[in-house]
Amino acid sequence: MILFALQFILTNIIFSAITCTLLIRLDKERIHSHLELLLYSLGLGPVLTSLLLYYLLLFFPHHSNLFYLLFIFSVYLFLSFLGRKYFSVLLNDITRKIKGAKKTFKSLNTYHQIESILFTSVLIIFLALFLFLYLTNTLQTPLDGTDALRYGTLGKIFFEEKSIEFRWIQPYPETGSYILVNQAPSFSLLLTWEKIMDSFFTVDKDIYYKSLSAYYALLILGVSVLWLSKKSKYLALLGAFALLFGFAFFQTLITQHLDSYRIFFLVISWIFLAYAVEKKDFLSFFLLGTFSGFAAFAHTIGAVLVTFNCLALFIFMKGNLKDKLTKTTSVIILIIAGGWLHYILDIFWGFGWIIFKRAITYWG
Amino acid sequence: MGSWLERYLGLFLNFEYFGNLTWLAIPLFVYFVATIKKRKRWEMAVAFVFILSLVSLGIKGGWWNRYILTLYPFTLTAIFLLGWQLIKKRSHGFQIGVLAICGMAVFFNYDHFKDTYKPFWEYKVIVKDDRFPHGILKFINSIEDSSSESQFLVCSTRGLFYYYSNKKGIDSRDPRLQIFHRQKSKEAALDVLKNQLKVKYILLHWNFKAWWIQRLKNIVTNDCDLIYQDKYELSLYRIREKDLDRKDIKKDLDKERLENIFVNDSLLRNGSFENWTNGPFKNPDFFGGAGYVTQEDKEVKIGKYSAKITGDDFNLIQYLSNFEDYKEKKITCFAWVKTDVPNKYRIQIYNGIDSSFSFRHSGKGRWELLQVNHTVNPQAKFVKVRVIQAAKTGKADDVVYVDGALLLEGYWNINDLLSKHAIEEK
Repeated sequence: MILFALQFILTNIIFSAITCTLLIRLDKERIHSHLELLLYSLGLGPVLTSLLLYYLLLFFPHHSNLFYLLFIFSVYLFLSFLGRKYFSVLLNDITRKIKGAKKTFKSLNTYHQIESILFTSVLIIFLALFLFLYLTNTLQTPLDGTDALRYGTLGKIFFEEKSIEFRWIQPYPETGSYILVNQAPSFSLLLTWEKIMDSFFTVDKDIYYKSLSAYYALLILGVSVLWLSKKSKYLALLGAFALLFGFAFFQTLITQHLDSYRIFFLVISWIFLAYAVEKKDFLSFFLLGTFSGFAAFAHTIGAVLVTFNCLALFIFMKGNLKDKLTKTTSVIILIIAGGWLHYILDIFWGFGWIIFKRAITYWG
Repeated sequence: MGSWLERYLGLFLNFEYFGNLTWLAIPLFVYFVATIKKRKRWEMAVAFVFILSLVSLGIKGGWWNRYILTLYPFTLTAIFLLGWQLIKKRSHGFQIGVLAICGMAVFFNYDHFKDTYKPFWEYKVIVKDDRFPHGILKFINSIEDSSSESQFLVCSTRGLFYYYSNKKGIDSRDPRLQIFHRQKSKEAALDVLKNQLKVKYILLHWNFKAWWIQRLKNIVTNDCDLIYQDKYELSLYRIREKDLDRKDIKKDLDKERLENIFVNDSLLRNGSFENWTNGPFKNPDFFGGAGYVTQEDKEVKIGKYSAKITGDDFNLIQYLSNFEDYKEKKITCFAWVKTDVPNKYRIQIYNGIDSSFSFRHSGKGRWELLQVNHTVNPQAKFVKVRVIQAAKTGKADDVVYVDGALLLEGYWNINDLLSKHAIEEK
């Protein structure tokens, strides 16, 4: 569990915080709330790590674990250098929010103070109870479920071979595993990342990989609560309960799957589509492209649906044709760099994705 | 109509998976369209993407809840945000009333479908019921085999083998199996499996489906030893290195020999359905259960009579009288079954805690020997042998014949059994 905590804090918190400072730096027009950016950034650490690993295994295969670890650390070190001035901005912002909340609480009358305490207590109790059950029980259950195992097996192959090539060589000659999926290997690469880190401690676990489903489900819940709480805190509470009591969503909290992972990026891409059309600021366009790319990198559904983002941006953005074309093209380039590249490789040199289905014709 | 709505509009109407508030998106969308002139461009852009996404997912994967789940968090949040626009100018009491009604609707929906949550909660949260097949995976990893070529034919879509085992497998969808499929006879296919594909073990999920399942069943039943069976779903077979003496196997229809087995070995009483003390239209002796059971003297496999069952959703049951003696022990049940209804009938052994099932009858109108292996749970409350169990299909005139039901201690293969008796007779 200590190693898991280390992997979790490093990848999901520290890497994400570094990314967040960079986004604050890019927000030159000061349009976006820093806390809102932080919430979205919490999902960026893992996916950016898997993207880096993807390019490394694609262009620099068959190197040592240390090589990949150092390379990724170097990239984050460089990013933290770029965003170095904004760590304090982010921390000050968080501190100011906490102080502001305290001040607001003190200014309330007794009735509203009790109401706030009760409201916060309900949230904390539910979250604490969930985390207790999750960490002590759910996370300890073995990895199970067709998709989680399939992506996990691919992740193990990437780790063994240190190459993306075996995504397209099926069956895998060493074990005979036969995995035909249309998705980019983003989710699998997070297990590869875990195993790379494990290798320095001579352990072989998959706890971090198993935790991703619940982590991203909680982030989705957080995003929903954030937007609803802008209207009313009780609306936010109701929204959270309604979301949790949809069985399909509840499942993502307790099973090991990539659904919450892929949905998170898609939902955030829609938020930045709205921002890009409305505000037309650089960061909104950048994050629309980035999150759309990551949605594609996570799953084929994302790869298909983000094309509508480009279409919507082109149609609904104000401006002349040249401006529309330039901005939409920039977003498309970001989407490709963020993960759609994998499908291009797959279409021309791999299984043919959903277009040609070259390898699936035998049994499908 | 119901399935069409679920197929294309599951996001709004599948209350079990997506709660009972998402249907509100439909009237709210009408409200959105009615107020389109007041809408900002970003709202229209998001609505445009949402509609295209909904249509794409509905057409391509509307039947699959996981696909529709893609839109669920966004839809629900949008419903609350749009709904708030409608009530934000109303009185505080009205707002509380609307939120309370929505809250109650959420709660009652949960209450109505709470059984859907229960198995997941027990398996994944309180970890009450460990359904994970630790035992069989440990067993597979512990197999020591001198030949590095030894492969497992993996007939399970669950993906456990490749993630957890350190052995080499050949997947049921692997194109290399085409040579196995091309063979005209079972014997030739088995030969290819053993000598060309170097398959030594078959890992089979009880619910495995493939067009070549019947051939696989024949191989498993006649040419393999069951070496491990997980209590829920996976069985591991080892292909025999040498074929049994074919002369002995041909004798498997020898009625006298089989009748001897019933008398000497079977733990089931009246398994050949010869005794009908209460008459030909009541249950045979020692058997109970629901369904229209009659004595049959034409379609018979063993002895003079078999049991003919007409109807739907029934069981023909016998309880093992001294089940306490078999706790933690392995037992095997065989029964000959004949029907022309595909995939409806099978055997089940149930001990009050867990169940094991045989394959289902192919429905090809011939006698097929079904087999189920079971390890009796140490906490077993009883051992109930359903020598025939039928799925509910809604057809009350389906007919099945069952005969020669055997229950034996240990894991058995019918050829082992016949060989044993052949040796004893000599």
